[in-house]
Amino acid sequence: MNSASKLSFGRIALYLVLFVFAIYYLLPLYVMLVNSFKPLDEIRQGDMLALPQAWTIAPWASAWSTAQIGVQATGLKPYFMNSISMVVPAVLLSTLLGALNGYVLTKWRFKGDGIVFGLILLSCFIPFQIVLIPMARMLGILGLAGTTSGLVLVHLVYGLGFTTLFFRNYYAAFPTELIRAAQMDGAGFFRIFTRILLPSSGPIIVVTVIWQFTNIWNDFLFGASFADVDSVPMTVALNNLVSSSTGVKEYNVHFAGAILAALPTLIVYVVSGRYFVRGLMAGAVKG
Amino acid sequence: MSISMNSKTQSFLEIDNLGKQYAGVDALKSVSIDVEEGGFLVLVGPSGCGKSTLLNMIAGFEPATTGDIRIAGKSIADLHPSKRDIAMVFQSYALYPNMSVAGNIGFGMETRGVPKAERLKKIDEVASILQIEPLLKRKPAQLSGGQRQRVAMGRALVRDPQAFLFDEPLSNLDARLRVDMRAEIKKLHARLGTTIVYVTHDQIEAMTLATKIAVLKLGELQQVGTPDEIYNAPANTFVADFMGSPAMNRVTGQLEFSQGHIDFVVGPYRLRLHEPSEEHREIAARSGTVDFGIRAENISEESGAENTGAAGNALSLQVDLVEPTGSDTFISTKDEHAVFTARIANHVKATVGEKVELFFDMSKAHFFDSESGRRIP
Ligand SMILES: Nc1ncnc2c1ncn2[C@@H]1O[C@H](COP(=O)(O)OP(=O)(O)O)[C@@H](O)[C@H]1O
Ligand SMILES: [Mg+2]
Repeated sequence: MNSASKLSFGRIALYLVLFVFAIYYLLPLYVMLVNSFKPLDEIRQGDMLALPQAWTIAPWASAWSTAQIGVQATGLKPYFMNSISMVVPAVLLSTLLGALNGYVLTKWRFKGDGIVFGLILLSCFIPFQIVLIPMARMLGILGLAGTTSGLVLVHLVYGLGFTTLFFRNYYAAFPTELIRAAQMDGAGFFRIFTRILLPSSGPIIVVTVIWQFTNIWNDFLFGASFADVDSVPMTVALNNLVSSSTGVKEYNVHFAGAILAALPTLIVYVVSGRYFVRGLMAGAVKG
Repeated sequence: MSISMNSKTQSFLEIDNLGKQYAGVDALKSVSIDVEEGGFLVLVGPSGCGKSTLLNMIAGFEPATTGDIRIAGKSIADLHPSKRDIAMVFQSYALYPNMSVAGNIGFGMETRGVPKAERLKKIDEVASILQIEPLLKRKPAQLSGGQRQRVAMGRALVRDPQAFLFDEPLSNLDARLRVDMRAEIKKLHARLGTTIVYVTHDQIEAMTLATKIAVLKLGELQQVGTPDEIYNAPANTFVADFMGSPAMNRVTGQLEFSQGHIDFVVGPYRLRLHEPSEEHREIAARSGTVDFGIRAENISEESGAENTGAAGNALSLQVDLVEPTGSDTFISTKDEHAVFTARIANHVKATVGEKVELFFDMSKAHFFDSESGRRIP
């Protein structure tokens, strides 16, 4: 069959629809990108879709290091660092603890483990708003109010339900005979975890990391509620950038800032998404 | 093997009144089996009868509800699986997917802190026994089913344990490979002389490999004995039906006295007992009901030497089905009184719907209580 005969009417219509949707989703990104490279007066002239006549990276530089955020003209840079130092430990710890929980709940069953799992799962469904005030009190008691460590703790606790669910379901399908073989070979609790289970967990680790990273990086509510001056995350800072400009609205700077805020999640998707597909392929070849 | 035994007949592995309950339901009911050192015990029975449960209790993965397990006189019931000096080959092979073949075989030594040089030496030894040297660097995913099976055996072999446990090790292989591996396991056992407990639901595997067979049904031990005992003197109708292919012929009828002999009678048919026992006589005295059993190979188209002189061992029966297998032909007869399958020579022609004269080797007849199924000796 040649390819020309496949191009039926239905197929053309399908591609057309897909194309329209792709444009629909890509257009905002295009507008942001294009306008972040324009001087402000070019934006004011009105054509949001036009390419810049005079390319400039000044808006990016400003957004990164000099723009007015709240009362200080620091740019987004320090807040970007705040976010990184919050997200990295929170993602790593919640993933690791989720993996351990999943391991215990499937391979070291104990009396009442189902109830424990049910309670952990329940935490996934508690709306953020409900925990705000108790959480603020807890952080105060622990002396972590307004600190990055406090935010890490909040995200760790809140993420644990999901990461446990992910790993529990993944490990439930993991053959118990493998654990038994390792036990017979003299391996203990942690050696079985690190040598047998974790090396086979690539795909679920990637899924969990993507999920946790995106959620924690994009979180606004916890950041706005619990952060102090030196722990404010990127999302909150972006909001401050956009709302705090006195006088003229520097749209080009806002666009650049918004892209900067979205960049890490994009990178995570691109990098680990590829690894994820590779992991799936390896599994498929295994048969 | 370093343990010296006092006498040859002393049992090495003792399974003593072992019982297991899951949530109050008996998976295993007070099973006792003794295995001599170097013996090959095969646990056989239909799916769900408790074979894996028993094996897992010997391995130490499941605690016993009641009873004890001893090796060379010492209880191992409270020991961790790694401390029992037992190696196991799992049904799924359970090879560590992220480790090479060499890594799989050496993992146990690694956890026990055996120096690397010694580890490699032992891995090479085992690999040469099992002829898997060229595979040592591969990952399990790159192996065929038969090769995985060998690696799984290598991982057990390298431990040089007091006993091997096999849980249906051949059930994932195709028919041809299964026969080959069966022979290899038998040779390996002869060469190593290590005690083996082997689980299967395949009665041919049980017959070919075992020095001792234990037949289980719904968690209850039905019979323990040599393959010969199990096959030729099944303790009850369950064992009789389970072992042997095609299944033993069984017909319910009466024992009756006739001219000083005892006959098994069903409808118009009479078969004379070869050497009736006291219990047969008692039943015949009241014309009691029994189950008569005879294997297909003990019914034939010619009155062999073993039948000469015995009167009343021939029946004229109507052929219902003819199944040539190449080497032999199975013919089934059927009427309202009895159904029989006989194994006859392949050159004999039988035609469906016609009558044939069949001779029953009554010295190989079995009788069972028609209610309890118990063998009547
Ligand atoms: N972990 C368990 N929990 C509850 N019941 C079990 C468990 N393991 C096995 N059983 C039950 O015990 C019986 C024997 O199982 P098993 O030993 O696996 O049989 P086999 O290996 O002979 O097929 C079955 O009825 C099974 O359902
Ligand atoms: Mg089983």
